[in-house]
Amino acid sequence: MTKTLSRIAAVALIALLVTAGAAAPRAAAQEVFPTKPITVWVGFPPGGATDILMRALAEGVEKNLGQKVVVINKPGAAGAVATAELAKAKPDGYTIICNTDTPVTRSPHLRDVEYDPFRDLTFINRVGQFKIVFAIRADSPHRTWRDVVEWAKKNPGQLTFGHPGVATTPNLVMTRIAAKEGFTVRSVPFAGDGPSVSALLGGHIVILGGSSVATSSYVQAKRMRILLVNDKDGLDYAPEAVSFEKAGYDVENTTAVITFGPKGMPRPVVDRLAKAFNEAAKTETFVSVARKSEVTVGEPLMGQALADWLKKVGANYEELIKEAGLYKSEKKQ
Amino acid sequence: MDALHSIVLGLQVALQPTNLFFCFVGVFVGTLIGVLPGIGPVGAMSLLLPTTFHLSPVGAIIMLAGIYYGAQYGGSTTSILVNIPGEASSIVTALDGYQMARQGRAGPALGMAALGSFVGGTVGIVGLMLLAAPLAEAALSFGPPEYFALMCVSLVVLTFLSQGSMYKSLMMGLLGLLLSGVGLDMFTSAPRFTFGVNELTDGIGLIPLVMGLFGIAEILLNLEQPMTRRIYVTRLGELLPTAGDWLAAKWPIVRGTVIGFFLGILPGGGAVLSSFVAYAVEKRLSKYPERFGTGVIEGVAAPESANNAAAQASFIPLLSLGIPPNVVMAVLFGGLLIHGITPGPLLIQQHPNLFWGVVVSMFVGNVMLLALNLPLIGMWVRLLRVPYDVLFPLILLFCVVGVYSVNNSRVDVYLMVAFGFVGYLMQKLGYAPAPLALAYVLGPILETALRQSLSLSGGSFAIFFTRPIAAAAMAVMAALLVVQITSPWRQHR
Repeated sequence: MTKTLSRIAAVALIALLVTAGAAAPRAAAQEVFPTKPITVWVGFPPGGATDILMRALAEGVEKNLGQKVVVINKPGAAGAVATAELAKAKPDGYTIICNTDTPVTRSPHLRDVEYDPFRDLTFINRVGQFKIVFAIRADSPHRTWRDVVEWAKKNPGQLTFGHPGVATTPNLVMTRIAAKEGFTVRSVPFAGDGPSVSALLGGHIVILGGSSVATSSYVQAKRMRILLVNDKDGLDYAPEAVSFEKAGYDVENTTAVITFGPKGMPRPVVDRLAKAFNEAAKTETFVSVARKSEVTVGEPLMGQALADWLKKVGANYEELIKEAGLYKSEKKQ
Repeated sequence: MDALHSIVLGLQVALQPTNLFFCFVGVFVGTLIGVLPGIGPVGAMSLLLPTTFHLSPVGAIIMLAGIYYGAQYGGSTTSILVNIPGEASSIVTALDGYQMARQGRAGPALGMAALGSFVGGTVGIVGLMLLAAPLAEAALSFGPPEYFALMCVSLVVLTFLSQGSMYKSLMMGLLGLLLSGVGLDMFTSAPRFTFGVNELTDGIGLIPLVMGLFGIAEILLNLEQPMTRRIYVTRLGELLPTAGDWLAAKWPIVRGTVIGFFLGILPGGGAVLSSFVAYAVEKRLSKYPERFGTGVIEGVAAPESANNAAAQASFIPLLSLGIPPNVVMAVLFGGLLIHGITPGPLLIQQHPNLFWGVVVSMFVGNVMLLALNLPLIGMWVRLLRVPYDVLFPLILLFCVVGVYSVNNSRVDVYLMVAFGFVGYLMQKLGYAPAPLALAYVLGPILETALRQSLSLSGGSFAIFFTRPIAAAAMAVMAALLVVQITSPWRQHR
């Protein structure tokens, strides 16, 4: 008798455990995101500025979410290759990307892409923005930006300008400035900041446009001077640098690092990820790396607000790309 | 600070037990990933980067650097054993190394690769210590026109590589140039020859191309043979190079080291290019050029010394100027930045213990690598006794995993398989894949430099002849062309 009872009790207990076990993960999935590791793609090769920022963030995001963060590089076409693939990923928040804004605000104007940036993606948060500078060799006869403009006007076709790639911010900004001032510029794209820095140091170009992190050590070593910067507050390591605004140019353009996922991500998941990334941006590792990378973090910008900001930036870039003659329809003719 | 003082400082840093440990971990991991085809130092370094957050910057950089030069040792292993280059820089090693393995001389080939690597590596470090600053400055005088001229010379050198028909080699070279044009146009961002395939936007990867043309093609060729016949017996006691091998390899190692060191300083594919050039030079200087490609020891010694010397030299632009000349150095740049150090012209001055510590650790690391690799030769050779019906599926598996891991892209795997079939057909019809691979590496550098130069000059070709370095390189190219056109003609008579 007792034997049968205990057997019934045992069966009941097992049944209870089985149903509870089956129900538990379902409930957990609804309540607490995330329940498994998160994969963050980086659309650039390892060692690039975006990759470094993401790897510096990963530890903080892990702590905040209580889950592992796996960073995977999927480089190609300034992140456009990875973005097109991401647009087809499952929108559960476990696969997201950290990238520059280029595939969202610029690539669609340069060529046909497989995604609609504002229909096929869910924006999470803005990690920061790169400071962009125009620099010359320290021994250059030009003391200020005005000197360069006057010289370029007097010597048409002599101003050679190196930038880190076609349709990058420095490239587009210089095109607009040259048109406004009425000088001609010979624009030479290099494969990123490194090669253009070598070209300036070697005297193969007159002026360089690039990210502040690529030039700061040379300013310190008195090999370069910064003439213009896209930050209203100027630069602490180069007080002589004038902001674009003060120089009289309406170019507020920057390159931003943002996170996003495929369309249709649940709102709570987006908010949770945005919170984790914003918190991670306060960790000591990230603050130090961001300062060394000359990245302005600024006020948190998340979700729909980020999408609206990107739309504004994208419209502005569309204009600049048309001015530079790089718009896709112009090339097809 | 005088040199002796600096070296003592470096020894103090590098010989600390923790740093010795990091150095060992680095070279050990490097050897492993070098052996695994496709999986390269970049992937391994970026995976390990976060784990270095809590290390000292010196320890972190010592370990990451060890992975890079360690991979140069390991890369030749699969080239020699199964004709699959573990790294792009060991493509040429496969030409003669694999033939040696087929003749039962895998041991001497592996031993020569390890010792050539050691000589190239250590001499490269001495160069790095003594000449870093002046050489980095000299490299700055290479602008786009100089690169273009240099690439033209390299393309002519390509024709030296040819075995058999010169026309077939030239055709393969042209095919390589054409393939390198796939992807976004650097000057307009317009897609070229991508056929709407998203992954082709960034062009065809070098790794899938090389592993397909060499590795997969080799597996396909072997499928034609009866399985039992193809086990190459290696005589025991012949695991190390013979005295005759040493005599033959002495000068190739010296020349390979010098070529590797100087080409390694220049940005771009330094290690890959230098291995090709070193091989071509040896073939040109040899008394029996016709035997190159059939398993001569010089064909292993020269490129292996060159790619290791180049690997060490490529630290020069990063450590003395803050310019990363390749992706691996970019990862190291990132590693330094994470540790709060901005690489730049002041690095040596501001962080002498980092610079000298890392440089001296490279000596230590190279000794460790030699001690690690020589005993492994016996094991690798025994691997060849594994029956091919077991070995081939495993190799295929490693190739697929390796290729996928480079960009985490499935399309790369498809490309590798496609190039495998292309490579098989090429072998059948007597077209060598090496000129294609070299042209593929040079193509983008050539195109970019040409268009940059013409942008600088406003469209005038005079820029290639009015600048001294470019003009000199153009003259060398013309001279080489004349020699090359006249000599085979003489031979045919």
